Amino acid sequence: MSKINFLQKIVENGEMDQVVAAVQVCLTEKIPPIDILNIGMIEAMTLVGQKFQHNEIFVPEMLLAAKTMKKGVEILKPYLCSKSGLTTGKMVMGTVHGDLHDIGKNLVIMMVEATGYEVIDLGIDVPVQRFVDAASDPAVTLVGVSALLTTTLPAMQETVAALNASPRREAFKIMVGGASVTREFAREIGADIYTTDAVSAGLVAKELEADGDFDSFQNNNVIIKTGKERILK
Amino acid sequence: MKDEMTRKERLLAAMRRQPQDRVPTQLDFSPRMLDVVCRHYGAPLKGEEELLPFMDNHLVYGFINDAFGMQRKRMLSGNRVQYDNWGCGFDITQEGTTPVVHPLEDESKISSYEFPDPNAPGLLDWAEAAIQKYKDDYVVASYQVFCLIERVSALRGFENFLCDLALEEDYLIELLDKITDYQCGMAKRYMRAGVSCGRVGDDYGTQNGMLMHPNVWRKLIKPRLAKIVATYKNEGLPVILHSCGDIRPIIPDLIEIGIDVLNNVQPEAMPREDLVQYRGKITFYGGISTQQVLPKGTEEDIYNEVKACYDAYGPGNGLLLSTGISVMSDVPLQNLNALLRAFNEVAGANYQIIE
Repeated sequence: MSKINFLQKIVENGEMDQVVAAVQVCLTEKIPPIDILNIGMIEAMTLVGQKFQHNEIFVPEMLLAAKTMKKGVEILKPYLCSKSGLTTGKMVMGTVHGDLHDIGKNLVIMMVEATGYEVIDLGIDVPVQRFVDAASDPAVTLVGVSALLTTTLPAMQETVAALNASPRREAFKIMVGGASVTREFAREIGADIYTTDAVSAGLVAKELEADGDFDSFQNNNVIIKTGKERILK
Repeated sequence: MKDEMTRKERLLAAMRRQPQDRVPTQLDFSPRMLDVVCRHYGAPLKGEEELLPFMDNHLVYGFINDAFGMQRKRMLSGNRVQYDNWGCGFDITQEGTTPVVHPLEDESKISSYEFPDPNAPGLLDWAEAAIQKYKDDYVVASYQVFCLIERVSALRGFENFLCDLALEEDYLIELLDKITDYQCGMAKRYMRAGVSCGRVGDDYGTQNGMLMHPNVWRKLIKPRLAKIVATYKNEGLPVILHSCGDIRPIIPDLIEIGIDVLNNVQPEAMPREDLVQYRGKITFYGGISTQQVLPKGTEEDIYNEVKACYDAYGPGNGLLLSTGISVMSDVPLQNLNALLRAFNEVAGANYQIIE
């Protein structure tokens, strides 16, 4: 197995204690850092996402893989120049005010980061204005708004309305999600993207960066990813 | 029409899927909504017991003297975070009780951690009082929330717990074993106090599926949960399991280990048309849409939802007609009244309605 495939397996299996050494071996072998990132880690996380969507793995394994990649990226970062592709886009993400739930948000952050984005985590119980301020950063292309409870959906509506009034509105997309959020609600409140799970969020973020002018997204208004298939047995 | 059974007889019959004079009903409220509803009925803001005269409920919980019990009884100290006997801190300002302080976040503290004593004096004072007061008319149940995985999660933090689970860490197994012992001890103590039903709770599901692989659940959780359930079953008591989300893959396992009642049966996570296959094998407690219909629907929508739930799971098959999760404060009083009317019309219940 090549060193880079070995790294891929390490990330896929979430072997956190081995990832640093695996990245270092790749660097010693003079594998270009950008390949280490794209093939060794981002591709691995794509596989992890597919396994999650096919119910082969669940949240714990996905989380572990994402954390493993994150640890690997920390080692790799100094070797990647800013234009080498580490950052394909910039996202800000938070859980709306009145809502303290963070696991869904954190998973989305990890899966979006795993596609190469830089993600600014605004945390939980985030006031509307903090979302708006964070979205004023000229590099931000995606704003993620999370809420778990039906009782905090009004806060999501308020947050999205404020983001829609932002002078930079044309320059970023608004992605919403959370257990009680539906496609209809997302459309109703004027969000651009609704995803049902963290893997789908990562996939959409990736597509969004690939499609520079966002045309296909603007036409559809709300992008739906149906997420993992339900299983019965 | 006069009832032929007491509430207690009716619910116990429904739990055992035996004939009942009518389908039993239950309405639980989130802590914040409890205040709204108590105000609406002109009752003191002291939790669900104050609402019993107005509700046609069948189940009363015997709360532990801890952060949850205080939250349910609306004994608020003014602090945002309240601690329980495990040293876990819970934010009580939301609809529920959210763990925010995790005493074992640092795994090196696990080996020296002192587990709480289920026989500590005073722990069941409130539960004992509730049992004495309501045991003849209602089914009084234990209230073992944060039973297994949620307890680990509260001790370690959710992400740490998920990683522990993926790695099947030795200390996770040890924690689960000790928590199981505690919960078995608690079950015994509850039974000595005179509960007529056990109630354990852990969220194994997410909106779109299981939190963990069903086989991981079977390996790590099922045997321990079975041990707690058996503590009650050995004394002939029925057991309610609460779990949010979609847990369809493990329902046959739950039936196998002797769970009598499944709560909370959220239709958005577990569609009725799929769950009806378990009709007659497990009693459903819940089933009415709280994510969509109850907060957003019209009176007609709510009636249709109650009717659909009633027709799907009851009568006679084992149904405690209730909502998919406790009614939260986003439900307008008008919709609550529509729900009560529907309960009265569809299930012949006697909820008092104040317009």
